[in-house]
Amino acid sequence: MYGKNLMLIMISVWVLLFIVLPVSAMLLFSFWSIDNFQVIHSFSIQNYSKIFQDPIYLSLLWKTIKLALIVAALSVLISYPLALFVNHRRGTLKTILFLGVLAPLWVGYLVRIYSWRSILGESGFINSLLVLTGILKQPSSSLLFNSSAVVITMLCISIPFTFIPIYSAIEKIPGNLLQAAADLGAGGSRAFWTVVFPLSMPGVVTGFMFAFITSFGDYMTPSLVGGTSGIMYGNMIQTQFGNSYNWPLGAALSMIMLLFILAVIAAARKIGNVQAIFEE
Amino acid sequence: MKLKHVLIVLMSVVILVGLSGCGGNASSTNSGAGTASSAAPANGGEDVAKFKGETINVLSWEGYQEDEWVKPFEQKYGVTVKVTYAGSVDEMFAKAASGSVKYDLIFMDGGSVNRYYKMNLIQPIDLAKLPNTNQLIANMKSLNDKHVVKDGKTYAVPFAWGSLPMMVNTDKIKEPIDSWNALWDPKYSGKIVTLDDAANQTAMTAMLLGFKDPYNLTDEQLDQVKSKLLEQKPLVRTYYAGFEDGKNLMASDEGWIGFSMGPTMITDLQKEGKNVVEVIPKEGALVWIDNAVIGKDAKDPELVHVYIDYLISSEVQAQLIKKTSYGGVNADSANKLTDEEKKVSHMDDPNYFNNLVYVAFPESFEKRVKLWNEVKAAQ
Repeated sequence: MYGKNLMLIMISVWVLLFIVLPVSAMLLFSFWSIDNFQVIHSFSIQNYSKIFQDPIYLSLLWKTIKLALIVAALSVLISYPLALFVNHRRGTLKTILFLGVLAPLWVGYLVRIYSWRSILGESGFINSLLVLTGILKQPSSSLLFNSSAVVITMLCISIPFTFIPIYSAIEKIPGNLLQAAADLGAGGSRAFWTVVFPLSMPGVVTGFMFAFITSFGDYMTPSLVGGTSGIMYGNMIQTQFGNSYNWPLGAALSMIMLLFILAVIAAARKIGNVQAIFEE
Repeated sequence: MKLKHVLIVLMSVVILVGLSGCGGNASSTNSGAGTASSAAPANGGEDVAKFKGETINVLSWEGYQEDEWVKPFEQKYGVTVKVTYAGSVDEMFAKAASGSVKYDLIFMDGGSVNRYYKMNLIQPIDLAKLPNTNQLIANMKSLNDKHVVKDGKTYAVPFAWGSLPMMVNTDKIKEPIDSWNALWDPKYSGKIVTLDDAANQTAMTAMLLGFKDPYNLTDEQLDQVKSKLLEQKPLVRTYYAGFEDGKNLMASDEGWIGFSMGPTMITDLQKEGKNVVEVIPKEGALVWIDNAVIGKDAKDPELVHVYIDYLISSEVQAQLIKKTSYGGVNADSANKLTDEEKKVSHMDDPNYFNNLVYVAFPESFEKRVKLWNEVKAAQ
């Protein structure tokens, strides 16, 4: 009992220090303004009205949302069969495959981006292969520095995060349910669509949400492999805190991003039973 | 029981008073020692012992406070040079402005001095206490002074500099290049790389457009800069995100020609076997000059003066140039370099500065960032 209270206190302190305080500070900042590099500590909604009046912020927000939705959808489409496949293996092979999917997580985030750059680049792996096999006469420059390069790189980052919840959702489906389906005459695909798929939905929704959130906030990938149009909503926030010295505007942009992410989490909780993933 | 409580209270009082007393004592002995030793003249007229035990808090860029020159100074004066590094201009400003540590000495590009000055974070420097300023490269110093002298008082002393030239891979591009227009030339479409940086992009483009002061542009001129950058966009392979990123692009031949972050980038590429050369276009190129600045609340400005003078001495400057390939500020330091080192750091050519434009404090950071974001967001 004593231990439980202590844990509760520790968690509360953690939440207070690392979530409540920074977010409140950010919220406060977003209503301040800047004049001659000095923060003016008076309440105003000018940052928000600026964001909603200037097309650049909203169009980038929309562009970023679209990209994150594409990445999340593809991530689920790839992770799902992968999770099914790994789940059906046994023993060491299963462990190896499982770790194989998670392996990208052990490599630094920037290293992963740069690896994709060298794979997709003009003198990169794919081009060399295409030229070697005679498919291309000369290396193509169209693989890198565009939005598909961004999607590919983001997928590499998001797939492990999508894979884990889907995998654990499928793993939790009791074997006797499939047995029962078979006994009642359901074939493989019928059993999948009526038993496995609905029961794995919480994993799919959670995975989708994870992939969406990681790609939504990512600004390094677009700027390193996205080419001249590789700007996302996150880059706007970064430049406000950096180059333009406008922390209040940066805070307001971040608050909008946070609200959006919270909305996605809320929607995910509504659609799929997300908690089920984390419960035994 | 009661006695015990009284004892505890007494002991805490004793400890508290003792601690504060100690603090007071320590500082008074220090200054006492200072006056005592300054009364006794040291050898060579220089009073080496009078700073003994003091600490200089330095806020610096990486590479500026290396053991090779910091250690000998610490040993000579018996002081400690405590260095904090900043990774970006913004981080440096945030650290200096937060006031959690009182920095005695801060390094910043001369263009930023104005901002620190406006916010009352720095104090003037007494050039009479810096004999080595006589050896500063003359045209560099006069360029720098326009930005760091306020109301007749000097607030900063140059320490290192670097230009932002054009880089050209001569294996791929044989014809001579002499203008920034090459970065707008459809011939090199898809082979141009340029810097993802609002401030430098705006200033460089303004220079190409022939605007006299690229750091003081009207809204109309900023609009022209924006159209010019939009015109360039379809030709650009990518906007690179930093020093290593830019090098990587040139090394892998993704870029043949580009806006460089400095001669060091080019010499690094040459070391990797790339035939990449530096071009200072006829319109001129930007140059940043990093300065040493004394913090408003410096504990012992006299010691900081001694340290700054040491940092701009020809010995330290020669070490800095050898180590970093940055430009040095002491004209005599060139005599301590090999011909190769002189060439790489441009210490062999006093006229190198003539075509360089100082990276200054712009009319508005916000407008420039917005302009650049709009260029990047354009379809």
